[in-house]
Formats: sequence, C-alpha cells, structure tokens
Amino acid sequence: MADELRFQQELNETLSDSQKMQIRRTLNKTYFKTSYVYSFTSKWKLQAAAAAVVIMILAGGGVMFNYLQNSNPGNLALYEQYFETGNDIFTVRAGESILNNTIEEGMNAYNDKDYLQAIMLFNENSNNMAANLYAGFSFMKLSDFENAEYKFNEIIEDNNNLFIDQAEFNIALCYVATNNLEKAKQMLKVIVKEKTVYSEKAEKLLSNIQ
Amino acid sequence: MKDISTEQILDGIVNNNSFIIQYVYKQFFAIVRNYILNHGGREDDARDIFQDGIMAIYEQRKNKNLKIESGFGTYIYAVCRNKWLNLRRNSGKLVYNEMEDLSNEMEKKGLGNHFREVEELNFKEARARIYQKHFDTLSEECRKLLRMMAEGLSVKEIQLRFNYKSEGFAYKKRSICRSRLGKLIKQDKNYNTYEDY
Repeated sequence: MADELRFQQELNETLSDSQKMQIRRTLNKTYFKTSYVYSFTSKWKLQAAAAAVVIMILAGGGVMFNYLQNSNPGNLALYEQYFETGNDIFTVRAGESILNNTIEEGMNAYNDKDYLQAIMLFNENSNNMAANLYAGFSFMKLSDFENAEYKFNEIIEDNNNLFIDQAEFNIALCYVATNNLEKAKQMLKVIVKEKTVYSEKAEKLLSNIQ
Repeated sequence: MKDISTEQILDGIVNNNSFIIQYVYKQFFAIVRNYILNHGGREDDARDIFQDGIMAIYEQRKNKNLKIESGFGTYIYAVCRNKWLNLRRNSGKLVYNEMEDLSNEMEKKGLGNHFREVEELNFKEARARIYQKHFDTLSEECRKLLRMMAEGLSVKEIQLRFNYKSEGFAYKKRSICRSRLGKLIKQDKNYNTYEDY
C-alpha cells in the first residue's frame, strides 16, 4: 500500500512538471546526437585503420601507387573533400549592408573554430540567410548534420536569396556524411539539372559516390 | 571551443537551452562515460547516470540557487562518479574509500552540503526518468489523460475535455492507462535498482 502511494505520488510529480519532462527530452536527443558523433568518428577511425593495413600489405607487393590511383575515397573522405565554405560571402555576395555586430561576432567565433558560440550568434539573426548559411556550416563542423540540414532548408524555403544553390549542395553533402546516399544522389541530380555554379561539382561528386 | 561560464551552463540547463546542453554533452560526457565504462559499466549506464546528474543539478540550481566555484566539469564528474559508486556499493562492491575521497574533495571545494543533497536527488531523478521513458511510449490519449490526472483534474473534467460518453467511461479509460503505465514501469529492469532510495 505504501509502495503504491509512493508510486502514485512520484508519478504525479513527474507528469505535472512539464518543464523537467522537456529537459529530459532535450538531454535524450542531445545524447543521441553526441553518441552519433562518437560512432561516426570511431567508424571513420576504423576505416582509416583498415585502409592503412591494406596499404601496408599492398606496399609490400610494390603496387601501392597503382592502388592509390584506383581507390575510391570513403563517404566521409568525400564529404571532407567537397566541404568548403568560402569566407567572402558576407563581403562579396551579400554586401556590407547585412553585416551587424552579432553576425560579425559570429564570423569571428566561426573563424576561431568556436562553432557553438557562432551558432548562438548566427541564430540571433535567423532572418538573415547568410547567417543561416554559416549556422549550417557551423553545425557541419560539429558533425551535427541534422541541424545543418534544417538550417539549409530554411534558406531554400526563403526562396529569395543568393545562397540557395550553396544550401542545396551542402544538404547533399550532409546526406553523404550520414551515409544517406540515395537522398544525396537525388539532390545532386537536381543540382546538375539546374545548371548552377554547383552543377559541375555536383556531377563530380555524383560520380564519386560509391 | 571557447569556454562558457559555469553560471551560463547552470542557467542554460534550467532554461532548457539546447545549445548549452549540447555544449555540456560535448565537453563533459566523454570523461563520465570513460569512467563508467572503465569501472564495470555499460554505455546505457553512462547515458542514464549523466542524465540523472544533470537533472539533479537542475533541481539544485532551480530550488537552492546552486553556485559552483570550482567549475561545472568537476562537479558533474563528482556527482556522476558518486552515483556510480553508490550503485556498485549496493551490488556488493568495495568502494568506500573512493566514496570517502570524493566526499572529502567536495568538502574542500565548499560543495559538501550540495554534494550530500545531490545523492538523494540523483536517485529520485532516476525514478522520474524511468517513469517518463515509459510514459512517452503511451498513446497520445493516455498521455493527455494521465497528465490531466496528475494535474489534479477530476474524472468529470476529464470526461468533458475528452467528450467521453460518461464519467464511468472516463474512469475506466483512466484506470486502463494508469495500469498500463504502472506495468511498463514495474517491468523495467532498472526500476528495482532505485526502489530503496
């Protein structure tokens, strides 16, 4: 009886505190994102180690050069090879007029590799598509591809800015990084068809996806 | 990554700031995880213990205005270690020396009172986590109904809110949801671990 009372009391306490319930959900979600980063890194390390062993064996047979010439990089390597941000966006493409203090601080944080701080600052300017683009890049740097995709989609949905091509290409890269290859191919095919500055890159990436 | 102050972290936890929580995981989870994995625990244990530790700290900050002069990392690590040692002690492992050292260390840092209090909170949070884990798997109707019940709504009010045909039906529905949740919770393999606290 006492156990049952305690159970009911604790259950009521738990269910009536919606703020705490929400925090627990955030903790869970964050844990899975973080552990994804661990498994991603370990997987990458494992692939790298395996590749090193293969190279050592092949080198013994004197065919290393040939192997390197013919090898296809893994998806993570592909992502790293194609991921570039371009620091001139704020000054050249978007113009000085969109720069304000927090965006500038965000850029400084980004250049200092303080990506979390950069995200906070860019998020204060979520109506600014260049800030959203850099928030997306910052998420990519933290290997948080889900949030990066969300940021790039905001740019595409805005549909009235100069960064749509770049957002599309980076979403495709996020798909590559998360091994979502069918979706990546689909997106890249669209980019190739659109004949934008990213079409050539998209075509090359498409041909490299294993 | 630039350091975020302890005060910012504590406020961020209380306000459910997802960036701060992400920062906390990225900065401090690995060390807790390594400790638990190297001391007979599994990934699940590390995840749960870290989460309960954060929630206990949330309670202390919100209700007792917890201040940590010695750095957030030191405190969360001590809180999690202490909880793991407690669990191991309960399963017959000899951990008294380590527990005493930890307690002395917190005393020296001026966190003795908070540290003693956090132990009980930590286990309470563990039970709440188990309750919520199973609550989140129920149907939307059951979740709404049980929330209303917990907030003190009468059966009559529940009947009206859900447009049920009678109070009797609302009562029956409430009992079904309540017993389904109770069954799930009591079947949880970790529920008994925290029963004695």
